[in-house]
Amino acid sequence: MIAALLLLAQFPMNRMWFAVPLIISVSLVYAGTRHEAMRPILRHAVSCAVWMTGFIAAIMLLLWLLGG
Amino acid sequence: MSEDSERNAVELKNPLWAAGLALLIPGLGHLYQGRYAKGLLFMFCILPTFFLGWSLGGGKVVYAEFRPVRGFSDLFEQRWHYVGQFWVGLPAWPALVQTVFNEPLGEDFMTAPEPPFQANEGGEEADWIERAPEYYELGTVYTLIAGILNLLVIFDAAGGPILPLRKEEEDDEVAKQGESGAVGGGKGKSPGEARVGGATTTAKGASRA
Repeated sequence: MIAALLLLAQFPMNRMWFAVPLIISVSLVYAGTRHEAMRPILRHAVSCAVWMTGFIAAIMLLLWLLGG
Repeated sequence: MSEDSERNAVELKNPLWAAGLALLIPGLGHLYQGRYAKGLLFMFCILPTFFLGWSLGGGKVVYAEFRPVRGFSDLFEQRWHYVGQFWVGLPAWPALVQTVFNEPLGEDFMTAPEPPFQANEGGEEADWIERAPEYYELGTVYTLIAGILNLLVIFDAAGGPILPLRKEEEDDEVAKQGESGAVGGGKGKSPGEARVGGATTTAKGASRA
């Protein structure tokens, strides 16, 4: 996790902010189609958002390593 | 109805009509079904994503352009993004209407670019991209994802949530249906069953999981 944050710090953050609304809306809608009540939806959305952020960070790390 | 399927049932009012409404405006189908929290959640996630993308792309990223395919390479020159954007519903449909009827709706609103279409040939789309080189692509992605998300929402309006209900959801559903039974004077309505227009409609999440 710390490595991922350090990696994110290497990139221009103004571009990275554009991923935030997408991650929020995708995780909320995805979770919303899997549960009916709000509490499980929010719980699932948080885990989904964390998973997506981690996945994006891993891809960035891979590209950074390949590019370096 | 078995105990399992009863536990996994969610009240769905007129699924086809709700799916149609969800196709028109994201979340509208859920509001029609009385699933207000989810309806508002979908509406406030998908519509801002679409309009943010539309705005990032300078209002130019949503248009339909389907030209005759004469060869394999022509397949890559179509505006395939619109296939995803279409599912946002009414906000994206002016582009389709004017492409089908070949008639612009208002001044330059969701109109396809003038030829030449190849970016390296200096057509109108090349000007749009040049005006906002990163944001044009970002706007396209935002609007495309908004459309694809609404496709999930349409299925949810028609078939209910995919995963089986958990204990807390089950309690919420039972409480909700208890209230509606009390208001309507109804009795004997089992959890997850709603009689709408003489037909009982339920969604069995487990069967789709």
